Amino acid sequence: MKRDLLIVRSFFRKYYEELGDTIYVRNPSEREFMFMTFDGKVRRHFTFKDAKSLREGLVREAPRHAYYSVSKYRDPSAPMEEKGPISSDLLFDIDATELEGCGQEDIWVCERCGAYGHGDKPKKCPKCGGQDVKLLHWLDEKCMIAAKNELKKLINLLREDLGIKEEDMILSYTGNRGFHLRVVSEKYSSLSKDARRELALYVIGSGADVRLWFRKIGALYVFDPPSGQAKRAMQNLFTIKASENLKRKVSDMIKGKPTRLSSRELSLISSLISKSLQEVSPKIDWMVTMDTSRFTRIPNSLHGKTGFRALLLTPSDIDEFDPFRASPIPITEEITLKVRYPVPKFRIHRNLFGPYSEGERLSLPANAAIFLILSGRAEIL
Amino acid sequence: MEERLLLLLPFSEAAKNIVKEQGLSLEDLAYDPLLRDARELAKYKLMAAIAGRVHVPRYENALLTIYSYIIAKAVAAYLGRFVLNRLAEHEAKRFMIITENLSMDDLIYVAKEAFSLEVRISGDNVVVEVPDYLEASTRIGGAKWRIINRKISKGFVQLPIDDFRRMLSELVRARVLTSVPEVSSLPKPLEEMASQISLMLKEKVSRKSKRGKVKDFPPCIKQIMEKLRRGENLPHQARFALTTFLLKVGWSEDQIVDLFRNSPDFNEKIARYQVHHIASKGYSPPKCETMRGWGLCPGECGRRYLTEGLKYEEGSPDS
Ligand SMILES: [Zn+2]
Repeated sequence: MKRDLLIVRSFFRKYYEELGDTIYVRNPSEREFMFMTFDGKVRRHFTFKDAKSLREGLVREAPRHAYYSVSKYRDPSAPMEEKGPISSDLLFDIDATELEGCGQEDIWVCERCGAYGHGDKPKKCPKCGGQDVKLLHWLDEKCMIAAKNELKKLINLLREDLGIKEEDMILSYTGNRGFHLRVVSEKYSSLSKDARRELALYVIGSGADVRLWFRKIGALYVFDPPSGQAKRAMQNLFTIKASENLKRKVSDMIKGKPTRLSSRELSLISSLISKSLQEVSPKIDWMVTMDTSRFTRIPNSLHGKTGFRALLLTPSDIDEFDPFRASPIPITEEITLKVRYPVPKFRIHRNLFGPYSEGERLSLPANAAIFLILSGRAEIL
Repeated sequence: MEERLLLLLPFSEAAKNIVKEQGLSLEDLAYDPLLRDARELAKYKLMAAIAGRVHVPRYENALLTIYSYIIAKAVAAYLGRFVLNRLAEHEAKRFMIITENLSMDDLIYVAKEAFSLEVRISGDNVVVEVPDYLEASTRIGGAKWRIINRKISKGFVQLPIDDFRRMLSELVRARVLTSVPEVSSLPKPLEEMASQISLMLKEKVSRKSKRGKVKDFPPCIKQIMEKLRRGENLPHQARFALTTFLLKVGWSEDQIVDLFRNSPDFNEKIARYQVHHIASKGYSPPKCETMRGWGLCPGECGRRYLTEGLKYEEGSPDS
């Protein structure tokens, strides 16, 4: 193991020793756990009989990443085919990486010659031709605001359309660029894979047949939104660019007035609604939702690419939630670093850091230093 | 439960209790001379199921229905998944026929009693919980079955009564396919019934068509073919996607019609007409987004469109 990672690991261990009592997982003895260690190994198919032994396990191993299964099993430590699934939380995944305007501070780096650059990762290093080119992500404040917005859209949809109570939603920050939401109500936990897929497709606004959202009365059309998704897509049309005449008709239809539409107007409105639907739909990764063999991070464990805590949240926390204030590992002793690749401006708690350039040497509090080391941008001197 | 409702639900707990009270075993069902009618009815059901028809006798009573169902299911289980799927399709269709004039109250009683659904009435509609709806709707094709096009709010879906019946019939189909008994041998009379059915089946399912290149097909198409092979009922969109795709990769109309022979509701004339219609119109296979919308995409496979090449593009699924 690299010396840097050994040192970071010791900070992780210290965190689990001192703040391990915030670690809590529902029904640990029925969950499968997965640890990724600091030397890159994956250990899975094991379980903990209770929260106490889970905490002890985290102190003992101080893993780089620590996950627990979405599913509950009769025998979580058995091989996959023999685990015997009992039920599975319904999982939604929001990843800021996929959102528009994100990843602007990401850089590719060449491990061989140290070249780096913005933009898409090249297959080969343009400077030395080496194959060992990596992408270094950067956790960007702006992206997290976008991701929070998607999360709020998701919670609203789950509550309004699906009637899922907030106390049945387990929300967590991943510790990096995303959020996870688990629905733990009994009815939704027993859904089949096919039904999960259908539900996920609803969330992303797929499968809409806008013609079914209108009723025709003689020559007039009445907008009769079937689902919440349909309603929100229509309401969002207020923001569109269109002729005054068309806007007035849209506004009449939202009020439920029977409205005369030419066939050209009808098809125009239909295509605008389809676009609008994409905007109002929460941007989840639908493949994650249909997969009951997934894992998410153990609440309040540390993320091995940032050193941030995978904090549990409640819906009312989201607006206020600031990952750079709430999540950094709460350790502040000084560490001396050398910057390997340019570091944009960033913030830990209220303290602003950077920007730093390549080769710079500096001394930073551990929470900021670990963030830079795990982001791949600096090393311990 | 009233007898006329028991007739609808030979697989319900109430039906099972009646069988238990009578204390009859599969041996009894096979040999008891008084149960000859039940055996006959079971045989007719299975024959109709294989032929893609529905058998509804002019006269039935609850015991006859329940016993014939148990016999038919045991024989189907003995013959394998394919026949079971046919029987499931038969029972789903039978349910649609015999519930056609059932009152709303009766239907709701049936939904509660047989499927433990929480259901209520709102105007002309039946209100069901979203998770219950989803378990049935995923197996039904068509835009109106996608929840985005349904009246849904606060966890409930409103269904017109005929759609509610269709939903229940899907649950009937699923019920036939669950808790299937392990049947490795049958009492002599039932074994004879099984071999008659099996003979009929052989005549029905024609020789295997050439299936070159199937291993290179995209996962969505493979999944549809696999379902067809198991004799599952396919929604209209799946048939359309499969037909357009196979035509694109050079299958003949005959080969495609042959493939559909496995379909529980196969009708040669209709199948020929439909395949020919699609071929003559020259439709393109649906795009991935469309397949996804139809609920036919089993997952990301790296291919943009069905028509684009038959090889996977390599790509990492996660960054
Ligand atoms: Zn290089």
